[in-house]
Amino acid sequence: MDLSIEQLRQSFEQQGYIADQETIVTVYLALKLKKPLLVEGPPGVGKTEIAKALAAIFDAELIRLQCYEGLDENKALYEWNYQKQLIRIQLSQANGGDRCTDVEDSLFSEDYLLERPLLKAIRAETKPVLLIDEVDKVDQEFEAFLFEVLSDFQVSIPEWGTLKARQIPIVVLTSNAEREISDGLKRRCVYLYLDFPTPEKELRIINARVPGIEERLAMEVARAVNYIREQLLLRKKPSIAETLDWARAVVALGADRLTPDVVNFSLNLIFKNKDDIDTFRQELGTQGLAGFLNGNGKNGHGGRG
Amino acid sequence: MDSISPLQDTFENNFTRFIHILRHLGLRISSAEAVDAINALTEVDILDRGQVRTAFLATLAKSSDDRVILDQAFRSFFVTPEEKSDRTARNQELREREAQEIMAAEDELKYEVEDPGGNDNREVSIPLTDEEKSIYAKMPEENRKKLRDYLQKQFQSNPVNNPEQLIANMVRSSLNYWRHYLKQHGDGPPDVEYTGDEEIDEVLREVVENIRDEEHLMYQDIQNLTETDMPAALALINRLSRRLAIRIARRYHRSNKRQRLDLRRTIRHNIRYGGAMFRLKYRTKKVQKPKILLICDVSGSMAKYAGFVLQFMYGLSTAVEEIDSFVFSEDVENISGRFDKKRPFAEIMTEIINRSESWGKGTDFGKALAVIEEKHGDLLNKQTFVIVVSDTKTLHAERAAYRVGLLKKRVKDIIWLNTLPRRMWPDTPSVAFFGRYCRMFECNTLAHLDKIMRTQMLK
Repeated sequence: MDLSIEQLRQSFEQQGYIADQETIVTVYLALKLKKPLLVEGPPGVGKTEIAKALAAIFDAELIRLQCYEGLDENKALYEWNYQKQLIRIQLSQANGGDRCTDVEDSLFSEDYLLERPLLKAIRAETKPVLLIDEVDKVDQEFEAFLFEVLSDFQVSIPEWGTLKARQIPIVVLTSNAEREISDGLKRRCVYLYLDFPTPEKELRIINARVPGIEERLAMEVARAVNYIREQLLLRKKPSIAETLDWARAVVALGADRLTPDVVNFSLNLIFKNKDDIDTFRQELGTQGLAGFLNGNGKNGHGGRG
Repeated sequence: MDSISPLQDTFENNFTRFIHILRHLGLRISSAEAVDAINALTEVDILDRGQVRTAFLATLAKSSDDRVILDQAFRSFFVTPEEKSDRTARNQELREREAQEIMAAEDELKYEVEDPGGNDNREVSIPLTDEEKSIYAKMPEENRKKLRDYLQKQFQSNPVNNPEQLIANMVRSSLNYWRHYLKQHGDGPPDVEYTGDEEIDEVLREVVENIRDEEHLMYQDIQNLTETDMPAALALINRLSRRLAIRIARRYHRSNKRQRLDLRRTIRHNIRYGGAMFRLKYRTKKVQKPKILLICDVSGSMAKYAGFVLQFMYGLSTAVEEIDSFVFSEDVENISGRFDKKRPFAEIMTEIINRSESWGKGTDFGKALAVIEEKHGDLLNKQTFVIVVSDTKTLHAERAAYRVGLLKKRVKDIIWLNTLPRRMWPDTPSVAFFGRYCRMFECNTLAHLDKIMRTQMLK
């Protein structure tokens, strides 16, 4: 499916993913140039969601490789089912009838292969979306291996020979930029940096993802979260997902404004550790936040008047 | 067709010049990436400035720092012809003013000297390079006058044949100091290599100035931060140290990486299967969090730097095994126990400074090390990173360096954060004494501190 930049933007919006022009153009370029898309940015800004949205737009299978320190080829590419092979050998010994070469051939057949995400993406019949999540957590050796796979989209299994991808998958790599990724891997990719959204963009996201929320409340939630991110030195800044949870919770509480009480009841939805809650209470407080929202609200009202 | 080719030339020319500029600004761009950028440009609407910018960002920038530089370079390079000619005119004016300043400096540095042979007086100028004259021109008037008075005296009291060369050498050492001083206050990062092509250099200069203006706190000498900068600088350092803390915490997770088969555990585990090796067990690799022993010089001029480094380290305390902090000047004090997570850092620091007997005094590093080794020897082991914050100016430097040599054998590594500008190192003998036994880094800005900790702690 060949989409123009505008069509791609609309498709993303249909999937509930509100993106700015820069994000859309970068994704468009990655698709056009057939290169992996490397998305960097703080946690919770919608990096992984890009891959999910792409899978939905192209009606493709989403194959996810979650990275962690210690991830190796066995977990990412393929592994022989060692236990099953062992049972097969023992059974053939017990039966005594099987020929040695038959046993050996069958041990390395598809029945005994445990396909992991990378191999699955390479062998897929239709073009899949391969999401390699949090690639900054893997070790350097694995990064080098990944680099090789993403260069040629082919792998070699000693018992089978070289397997070439039937379809070049749409690849999305995400990183929290906790560790520098090697130049080689970066060079392979089209780069996108996603930061926390502006209040205007976050408002659009809330409206798209929280049905039934009143415009004024949505605006207050967006502005409050933005203010909290900007003003407080937090261990973990509230992510977009947390903004959405907060908005849903406030709607569920039946509130139409972010009053100090409502903020107080729902605080645990945006702050995920005690230090951050303490920081909020000490440095801003529910009254302070309400004051900020009301203060600017009055100005805005005055302006309109 | 003919009418199209000059346009294409212009596009290609502009493209290659832009790549050239980015490389000079420190971006690593391979030919393959340049080809990617061209391919990307063919896919977007070339008349849409936003799309062109995004195409460059997507293919050429590979980190958030790269993006800042590329963005500035894009804004400075792709300008309208009017803006370009304005900039050229501004630069032209600047150059002319500099030339005038140099000429004025030449005039000021001319002297009449008596001829030792008894002939008429003659006019001599001091043979300085244009760069040296321009440094002279940038000095404050008061200091220029001092220098002129000094020269006047020298010429009058040296009735030799050619006093110019002799005096020029003396003047140079004074100008050298000013070169360092002006460098610190003038040119900032990113370190840029100018090309000699005036048009490209104009863009480079503009990019550097804009980045320096936007991120001046990162690149300013900590010593020169004013009281009004302090809250922003402290917030910045908190952010930097928190970011590093997250990185260290992730980096030093216990690893389950498969390395070697653990035969004993494998056999024990597989007894239940009658000895058939169904489940293999592997040795796990234990990764230990680093321990940090921080030794800060808090004598006189060093106190401000030490405050910042302590604040940075305090931010790491959640991610590292332990931090032991000592401050020293004439004497040494252990201040580790004073850091209580519940209290704000500024409050703790004020208390430390008020109580400390070391703060703001003279320096004896050798004595400080001797006390640490004697009384706190248990802190020194092969997991310990020793971080020293000092300008190396201490009493008995050679003796202290010998002690650093002994310390080096007991700990994992010694990192020395030297607040003295690197250009002054060759003229400071103590730098060479200590440099033999540790890895020394220039560290007088927040950018230095961030970069050193990021690259060294995560190795």
